[in-house]
Amino acid sequence: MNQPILLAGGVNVFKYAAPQTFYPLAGKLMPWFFWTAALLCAAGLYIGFFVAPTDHQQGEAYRIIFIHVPAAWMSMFIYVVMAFWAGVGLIFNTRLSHMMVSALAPTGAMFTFVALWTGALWGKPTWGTWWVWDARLTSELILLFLYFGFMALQAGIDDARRADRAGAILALVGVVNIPIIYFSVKWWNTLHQGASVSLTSAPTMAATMLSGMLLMALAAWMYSIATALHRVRSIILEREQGAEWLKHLPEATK
Amino acid sequence: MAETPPGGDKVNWNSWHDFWVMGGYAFYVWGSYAATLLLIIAEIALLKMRRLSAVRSLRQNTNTQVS
Amino acid sequence: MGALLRAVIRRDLLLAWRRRSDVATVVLFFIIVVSLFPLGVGPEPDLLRKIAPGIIWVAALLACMLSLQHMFASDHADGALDQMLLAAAPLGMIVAARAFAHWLISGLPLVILSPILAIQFDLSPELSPVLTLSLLLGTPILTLIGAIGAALTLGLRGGGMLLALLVLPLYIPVLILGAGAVDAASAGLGADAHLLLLAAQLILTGTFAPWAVSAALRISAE
Repeated sequence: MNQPILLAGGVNVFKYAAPQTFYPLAGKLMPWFFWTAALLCAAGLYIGFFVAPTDHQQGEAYRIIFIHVPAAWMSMFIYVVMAFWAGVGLIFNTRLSHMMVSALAPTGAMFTFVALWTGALWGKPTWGTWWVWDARLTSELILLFLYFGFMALQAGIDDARRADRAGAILALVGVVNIPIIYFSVKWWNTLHQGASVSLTSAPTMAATMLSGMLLMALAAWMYSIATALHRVRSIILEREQGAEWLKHLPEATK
Repeated sequence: MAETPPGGDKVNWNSWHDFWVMGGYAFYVWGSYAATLLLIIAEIALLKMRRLSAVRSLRQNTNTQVS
Repeated sequence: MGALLRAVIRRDLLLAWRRRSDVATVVLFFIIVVSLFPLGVGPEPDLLRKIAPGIIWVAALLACMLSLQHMFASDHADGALDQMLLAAAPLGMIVAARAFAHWLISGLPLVILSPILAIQFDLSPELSPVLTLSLLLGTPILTLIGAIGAALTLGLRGGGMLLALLVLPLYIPVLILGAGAVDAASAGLGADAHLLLLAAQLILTGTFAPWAVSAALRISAE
C-alpha cells in the first residue's frame, strides 16, 4: 500500500489520509469539539433568550430563529463538505475521504429535518399555516430528499468500494444541482404569489439577535465535526476488519 | 422585595412563568427546541450504539484469531 | 466514430422495435396517469385547465423514470455493457447516443401525445404548443439526468424505487421550468424566459451528464 507524500510547509499532509493514523487523532479531537459545541450552545441560548429583545412583529415566536437558521446553514454546508470529500476521494482514491462523506450524511440530514420542523413551527404562528411553500423551505425539503437518496444508495450497495464511489458521484451531481434547484424554486415562488410572504423576511436583526444566531451556528458546526469524527471512527472499525493494526488497539482486548 | 427576574436584570422576562409561557407561543418555541434536543439525543445514542457494535465485532475477530 | 454512434442508435431502435410492448407500456402509463387526475380532483373545467400543464408534466416525468430502469439493465445482464466499456469510441459519446435513442423511444412519443391529452383538459389552443415545446426541450433533460440514476443503481436490489428517490429531486427544476412555461404564457407573461432556461439546461445537461453516466457505469460494472 504505497502512501503518497504531499509536503505542505514541511508537514506530510497525506499522513492522516490513512485510517490507521486518523483513527487515534479523531478519537482525541472529538471530545474537544463536542464540549466546545456545548459551551457555544449555552452561550448562544443565553443571549438568545435573556439578552436579545422581543421582536415587534413576531413576538416571542421569532426565538425559533436561533435553531432554524443555524440548522438550515449547517444542512447546506455539510452537503457541500460531503461533495468536497467525495471529489477528493474520487481523485486521490483515498478510502478515508469516502468514509468521511458517509460519516457526514446522517448529521446533515438531521439538521435539514430540524430546519424543516422548526420552519413549520415558526410558520404556523406567524403566517397561519404549518407549511409555507416559500423558496427556502421548499429547497430545504428537496435537500432532505437528496440526503435520503444518498443514504439509500449507500445502504443499497453491498460492495464498499462501489458504494463509496457511487455515493461520491451522486453527491457531486447533487451539489451541482443545488444552486439550480434553489433558483428554480425561487423563480417558481415569485411567480405564484399565493403565499406572498416568505419566512426569509426575518425580523430586523438587533445586534444581540445576530450574535445569538452566530453563536448557535458555530455550536452547530462544532457539533457536526464532533459527530462526524465519532461516526468515522466506527466506520473505520467496520470497514478495516481484518487489518493488523486494529488488533493492537486498546478496544480490541478488554 | 422583588425577586430577580430570570436572566438577571436584563428585563426580558418578569418571572419564570413568563419565560415558560413565551408570550403565548410556548407550544411553537418549546416544540422546536424540544424536537431539536430529542433529535440530538437520538443521534448521540445511535452513534454510541454503532460504536458499541463495531467494537464488539472487533473484539470477536481479535479473540478468534488468537490460536 | 460517427458510424459507431449511428450503429448504436440503430441497434437500440431495433431492440425497442422487437420489444414494442415495453415501449407501449410507457405510453399507456402516461395516458392513464394523466387521466387519473380529473378522476381525483373532479371534472370542473376551470380547475382542470389550470392544473393541466402540471399534471401532464408530472405524468411525463414519471413515465420517463419508469422507462429508465431498462436503459442499461438488459445490456448489463447479457454482457453488452462490458463491450461498450471497452469500445474504441469515448464512452461519453456512446452514452449520449444511447440516451438519444432512449429519448426517441420513450420521450418523443410523450411529446407527440401531449397536444391530444391537453384537449382532455380543455387547454386553450394557444397554450398547447407551449406545452409541447416545453416537453420537447424537457424530456431529453429528463432522459439524461435519469441515465445518471440508472447507471448508479444498475443491478441493485432497491431497483426502481431507489432510482426514483435519486432522480426525482433532480427533476424538480425541469418540472418547474416546463410547467411554469405554460403558466407564464397563460398569465400573459410569455413563456420565452422559461423556454430559454430549459434550452440552456438541456445544453448543460447534454454536456455534463454523459460524463457522469460514464463514470457511474464504470463504477457499477466493475
